[in-house]
Amino acid sequence: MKTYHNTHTTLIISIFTIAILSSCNKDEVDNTQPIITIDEPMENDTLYIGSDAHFECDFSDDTELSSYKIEIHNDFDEHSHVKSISIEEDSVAFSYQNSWSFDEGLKNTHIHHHEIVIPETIGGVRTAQGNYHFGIYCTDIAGNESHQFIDVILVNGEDPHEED
Amino acid sequence: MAVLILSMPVLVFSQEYNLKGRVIDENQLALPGCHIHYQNRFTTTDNHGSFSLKHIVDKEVELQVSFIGYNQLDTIIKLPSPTNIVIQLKPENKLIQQILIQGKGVTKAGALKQETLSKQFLTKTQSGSFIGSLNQLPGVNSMDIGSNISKPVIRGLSLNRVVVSENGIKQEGQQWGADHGLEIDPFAVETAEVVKGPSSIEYGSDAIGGYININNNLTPAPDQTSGEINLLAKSVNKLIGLSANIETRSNHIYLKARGTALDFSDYHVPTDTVIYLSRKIPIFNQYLKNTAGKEYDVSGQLGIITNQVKSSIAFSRVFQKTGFFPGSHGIPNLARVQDDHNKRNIDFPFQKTTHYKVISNTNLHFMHFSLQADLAFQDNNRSEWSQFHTHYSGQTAPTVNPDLELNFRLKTYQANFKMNIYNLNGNSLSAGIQNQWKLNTIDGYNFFLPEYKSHSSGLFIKDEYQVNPKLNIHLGLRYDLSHVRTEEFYDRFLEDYLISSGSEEEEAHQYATRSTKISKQFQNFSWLVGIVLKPSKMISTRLNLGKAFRTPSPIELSANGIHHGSFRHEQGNYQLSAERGYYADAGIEWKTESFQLEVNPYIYYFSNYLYLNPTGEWSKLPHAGQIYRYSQTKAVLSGIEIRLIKSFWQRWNIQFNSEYIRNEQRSENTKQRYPLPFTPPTNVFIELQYQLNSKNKRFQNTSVFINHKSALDQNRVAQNELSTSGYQVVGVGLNTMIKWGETPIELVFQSNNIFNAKYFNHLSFYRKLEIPEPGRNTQLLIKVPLTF
Repeated sequence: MKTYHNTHTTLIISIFTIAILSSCNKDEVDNTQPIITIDEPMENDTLYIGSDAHFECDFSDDTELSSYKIEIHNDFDEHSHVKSISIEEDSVAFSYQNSWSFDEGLKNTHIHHHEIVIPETIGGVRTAQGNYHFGIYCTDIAGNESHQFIDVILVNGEDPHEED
Repeated sequence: MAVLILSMPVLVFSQEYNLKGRVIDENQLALPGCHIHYQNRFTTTDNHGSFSLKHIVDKEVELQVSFIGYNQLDTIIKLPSPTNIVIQLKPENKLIQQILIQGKGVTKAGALKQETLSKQFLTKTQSGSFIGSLNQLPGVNSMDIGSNISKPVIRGLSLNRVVVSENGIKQEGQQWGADHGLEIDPFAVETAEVVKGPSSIEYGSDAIGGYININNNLTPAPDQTSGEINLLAKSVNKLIGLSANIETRSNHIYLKARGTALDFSDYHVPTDTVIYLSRKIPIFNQYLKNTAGKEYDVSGQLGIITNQVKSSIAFSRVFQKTGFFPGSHGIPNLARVQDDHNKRNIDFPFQKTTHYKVISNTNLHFMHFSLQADLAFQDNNRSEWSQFHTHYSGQTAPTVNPDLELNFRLKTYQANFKMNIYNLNGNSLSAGIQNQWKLNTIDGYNFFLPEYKSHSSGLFIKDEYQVNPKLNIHLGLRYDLSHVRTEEFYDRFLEDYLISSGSEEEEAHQYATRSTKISKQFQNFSWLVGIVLKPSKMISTRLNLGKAFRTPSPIELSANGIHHGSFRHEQGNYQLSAERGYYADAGIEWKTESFQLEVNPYIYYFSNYLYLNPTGEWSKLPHAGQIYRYSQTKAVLSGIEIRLIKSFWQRWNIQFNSEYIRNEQRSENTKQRYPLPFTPPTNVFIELQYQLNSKNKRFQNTSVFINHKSALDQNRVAQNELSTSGYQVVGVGLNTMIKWGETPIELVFQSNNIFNAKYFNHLSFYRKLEIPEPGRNTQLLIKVPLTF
């Protein structure tokens, strides 16, 4: 009886010890998300169909940036409450997605490009004007992710600030 | 749990004895309808609580006495000395949580820590959702969405890692989703058991985290018709709940029926805005829009009970419909969260579930063994509705149910057989086989999970060997074999969309193949060795070592899509191996009449743990960030639970429950050793109760209580999971029984979060949307017994 008891107690105590010891492990993991600061376009900015969008943004992370993604798609059903998304006669919604990797070892960077081109027609059909979501996603090297969404309006016409 | 007072021996024959007894409750009142089981015999107590067993030839009578809301009493009575006995059962939630036997008797204890929840406990914690009641137990938490939907979390494990069963039949719905509720009528729970820790040996591979069983097939008292009406009202979500049941029994046949209706409004959150995705979203009048819901449940049971057979067939239907906060669906949009001036309507988006269940439980008792057969059919029809929207220009709304976004319909057939052998040279053996067939079909304009078929079988054997009255050894061995086959799903709209947004055809094709036909088989052995040692009457210790195994769920193998509001493209991985782990679980309990201390440390080592891993690859699906793919890693999970109960100054009682968990992935790369997601923070629950003097004839059993729940900060978070600050919440309440003529009416009045604290539950689905927990809630539960 005594021996059972002792063995048993010893085992239980060792579990306590393991449970407590395992909690003293000091592996630091990266839980800090990268930071996205959008300069252009801004909330409710107008983007012009037939032009390229001016994209300007700061990305930063405490360890190392990995890559970012831009996604644009319509927000038509929200206001019109139509059951399908063709808002204008004979027009089709624009959608865009693309991703870019950052150079190795970067912690902060300023990105400026005009790679997002909004075509006048998609498959021969006019690009639809209206409200769109402009989403920016960013990951760091550890896989932490952050995202930002802004609303933009796509309209026909010439970009009055055509420059850069 | 009971006091046996053995007295007045009455000898009948030289070889045969009669055993007569009476069962009483804690107030010395007779308990009619108690279930007495001895070998192959069944009997129940009459209206005076009396029972008798005739023609007993054995010198030792192993009796089992059970009653709704009271713990089962297992004891051995030595004949011929005492043959007329008084058995006093005490409700589980009273302080003296132990079986005190005066005379010669032995009590049994399981290898794993098991909590039995009595009717009293369930009444006091009734909140309109069953799992919400379990929050007070150390090591058990609820994972909530909104005010009336919750899922159990045991030691930080949840979803497919905790089995919830009803009368031994595993509940099968879409339990993988944190925002899916449990389809159980909260009032149809007569008693419940909670087993913390790996319980796979007897309850199947999903019970790797723990097991919760709900009982509602207790036998009513003979020749009696009775019922009960429950009324529940809550302030936080203007909930009105009504549940009525009736049960009747002639000598051998009984019938039970219950109907429940719950209706609740949007719920109050103590905040005017939530900040989500760096946008300020207004919460008008501090009510979270479109979180109203309703539930309608009906159930019925027909049973027979004879000396050798107990058999019942039960039918139930649970219907739940609950709205989702529209700000949580996709990108926040101010137009959608505007006040609609109606707190009780359920608008888009919402979820709806209908769960049908037919369960047949049969027990056959023989001299030295019993046989058990449990058969069931379940039909879980779960749908998520959201006004038709698409990002694919080619996709138009379906003509039938245009706003049905996702629909999963899971049909499950179960057949479990078990044999128990008692007292075979000190061994209690049980062996069983469990079979389950599942068929999942899908519908809706969105895709998340493919259609699948699966089959699983488990074969187990368990032995409890009593070496001597102080030492019990438990052994268990199980073999599992399962097979899953998923169907292909090709998303033509996605293919068109990807090509139109500039993808290569090959890539578009690959993406549009949302699921492929796969067929996978898993098999494994798991085992358990447990030792229960009681060196003295006051102390008992237990230690379990074992190997656990879990079959990957179809979601882990083959999901592929974005689930609500998560911005996550979650992808299954059919190359996964089964989850495997080793565990050690220990417990020390010290009990006296006025004091109880329990300490349960545990450590699990998973040599293969399945989790959603952010891959760093960008998803091409609209509204998605990187792909989260189910992956496997090593993991360690450890923790400790402490419970202390002390009564003092005769009428006072204090309870202290606490839990600490620490876990992490043990991947090769030390920088990837993240904690596991949805890990409860260190938390403490303290309740002080005062029993009022019951001289008043009108009010009886009156007690008042004040409780305090607190949690520390949870900063150990999984990747892309938010840290959650600690909190403190205070509640007060009063229970009493009012005599209305002859009718005792039970009342529980309580107020939770009385200071209307704004806090977050780390386990809530709404946590990542920065939506705080419900504010102050005052509620009243009235129970009126009916006699006919």
